[in-house]
Amino acid sequence: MKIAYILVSSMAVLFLIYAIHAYLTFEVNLQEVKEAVSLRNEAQANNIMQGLDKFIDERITDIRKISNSKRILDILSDSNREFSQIKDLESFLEQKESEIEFGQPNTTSDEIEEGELSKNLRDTITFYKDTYGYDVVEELFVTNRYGANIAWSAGKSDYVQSDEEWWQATKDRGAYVGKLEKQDYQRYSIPLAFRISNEQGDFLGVMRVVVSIDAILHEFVGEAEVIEAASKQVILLDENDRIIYSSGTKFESSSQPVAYFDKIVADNGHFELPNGIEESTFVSYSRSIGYGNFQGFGWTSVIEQSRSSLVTEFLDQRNSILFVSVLGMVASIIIGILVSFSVSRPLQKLSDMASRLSQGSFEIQIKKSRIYEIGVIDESFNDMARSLRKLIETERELVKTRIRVKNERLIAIGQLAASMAHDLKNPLATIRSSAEIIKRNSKTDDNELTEVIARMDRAIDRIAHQIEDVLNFVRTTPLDISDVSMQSVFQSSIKSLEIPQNISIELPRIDFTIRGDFRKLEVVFINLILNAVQAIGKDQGKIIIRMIKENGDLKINVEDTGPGIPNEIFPKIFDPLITTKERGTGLGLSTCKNIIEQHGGTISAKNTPTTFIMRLPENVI
Amino acid sequence: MSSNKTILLVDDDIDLLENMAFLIKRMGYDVVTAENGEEAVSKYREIKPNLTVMDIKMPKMDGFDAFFKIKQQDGNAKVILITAYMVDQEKYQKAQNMSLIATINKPFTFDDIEDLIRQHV
Repeated sequence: MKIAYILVSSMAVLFLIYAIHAYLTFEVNLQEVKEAVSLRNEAQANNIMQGLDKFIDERITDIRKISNSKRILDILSDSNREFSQIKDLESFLEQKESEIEFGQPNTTSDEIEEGELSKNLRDTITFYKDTYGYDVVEELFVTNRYGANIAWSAGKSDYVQSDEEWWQATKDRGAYVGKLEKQDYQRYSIPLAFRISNEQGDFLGVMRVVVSIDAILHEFVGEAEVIEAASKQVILLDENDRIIYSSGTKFESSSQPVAYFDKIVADNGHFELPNGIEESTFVSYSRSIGYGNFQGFGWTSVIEQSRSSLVTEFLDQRNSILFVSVLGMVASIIIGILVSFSVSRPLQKLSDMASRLSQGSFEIQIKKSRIYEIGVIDESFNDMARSLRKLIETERELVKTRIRVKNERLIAIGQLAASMAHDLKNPLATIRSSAEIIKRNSKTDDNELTEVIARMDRAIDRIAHQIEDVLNFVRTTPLDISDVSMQSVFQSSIKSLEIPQNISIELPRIDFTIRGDFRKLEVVFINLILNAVQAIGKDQGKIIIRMIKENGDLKINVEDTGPGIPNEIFPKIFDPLITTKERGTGLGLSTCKNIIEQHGGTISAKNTPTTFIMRLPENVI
Repeated sequence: MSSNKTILLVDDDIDLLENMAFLIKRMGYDVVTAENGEEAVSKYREIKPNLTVMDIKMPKMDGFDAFFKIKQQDGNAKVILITAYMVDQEKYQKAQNMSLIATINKPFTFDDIEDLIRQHV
């Protein structure tokens, strides 16, 4: 395994562990933060709910103050006195009612509208409008104890209110707080009514105010916007858990309760709403419990916060850790590459050098690495290569010397053998001629002597042949090149041998002429034919010489029907001194090989049938 | 026997020389012997033999050199050289070019010599 891989993978694992640790820590922290945030949101929900309740309470108090002003009390007392003197009050009221309803020109409506009290009230409403920048009061009027309008400043109304449920409720209980609903003004608003009494507690009349939702939610929306700036959503639900306000939109036209209304069970609380795989919403809520004298509408403020917004800052933190991890992994890869360049490469070079050294090339030098430790190894390698080179050179010299000495010895032995063989020739010739003289001098009918002389001749032949073998082997004379007819080489070889009767020789019918040394080629075929004759022995046998031209070479096969070459010596038959014959020198085939190779040819052997295969080029190179 | 053809036989091996002389005489020729090249050259000049049979390897003057000298005296001289091992190729080639009759290899059989003599004398 490459060092760079190990480094890169171990650093990558390190950063992976770092990343996993960061991720797990993130999950644990997330749980804690979720709880904390939900509680905080719950507190905020409670806060804004209370704020709303307080705001409504203050508005109610404000209006109540107006209703209790001395001026209104006086006007109401006068109106009540005036009404008490009307005999048929019921028909009077009916008549007034119809006058207003059918828009007949009447004075009642105008009278009321132009009245001093109406003007005062209008001033108050204008003051509110100027203060807040919108219509706070949608409708405002005052009735006397008989339910008849005596002043109005905004909106329109029936003349008589005593038949209305709210009027009765206000008269009985002192105050009335209506439900949030769409009135005639295309906007949602809340009707309020207050009983007006004198100091003695006598019922004088009722003041009714319809306050717009804008006015009620004015402060609430301001606070909600602040909260919403922090990636949260503020929702206001009515007593039936229908949405009044949500994310800046007042009163969405939803007649259904919110989806999670069933989870709002206590005054305050929080829960988590799953929302897809990775996403969920934390919902915190707080129910209105009223403020001061105000009982509350039973509304609920809800703060929703999506997990993602909560998680964002954690995600940022986690992502920065992951980023660092990824950066680390990238860095480790770069480091790996650098290490590979600065360490692995030189090491690779060293290993290449080592393998080349092991293959025997000591000529190489390695460039010294800039890294100190590797540089030291490089230097050692170079030293080693130098030492090895020296050692090998010494060894080679030694071997050369040994070979030279051996060759010199062999040459000396060869010369000695040649000279011995040569010196034997003269005495042998003397013996042979002496035998000849004895033969010629003896009586022709002396069979015994004839046989003795024949034995002597055979012995002389054998010695002569062996001497010739040795001389042929040692002789390294250059080729005496001429045009050589192979057929005449075969003929001459056979002629110089005594072929026994039991053996027949089959020669090729064609003849080829090559450039070669006749006498040396003759030695080759004398040896091969003699070997074949001796291999066949006393059995009936045949020697076949075949000759063909093949790829510009002359291919000659000498085949015999003998028993073949024993397997154990087969690979060595062309080596000198290898023989199976009791009387052989073991130089014959070796001489043949020398001669054929001197002619630029090749010789090989195979068994079954025993065949010597020679290839000779037509022209000796 | 003076009408007989004369053969000059040259060899430094006395035993072989005498055996050969004996056998050739029996063939009906006159035989003159010499034991080295110098002697052979002087004997040739003296008797002008019909055929010279001469060994190559001899002391003082070898067979080739003696052959060259004889050929200088008598361009028609008929000479058979008896070769053994280690022939001086240069001299051998030169001799071949100067119409050397034949070379014969030791150890020859007497039949070989007999054939050559009958053929060339």
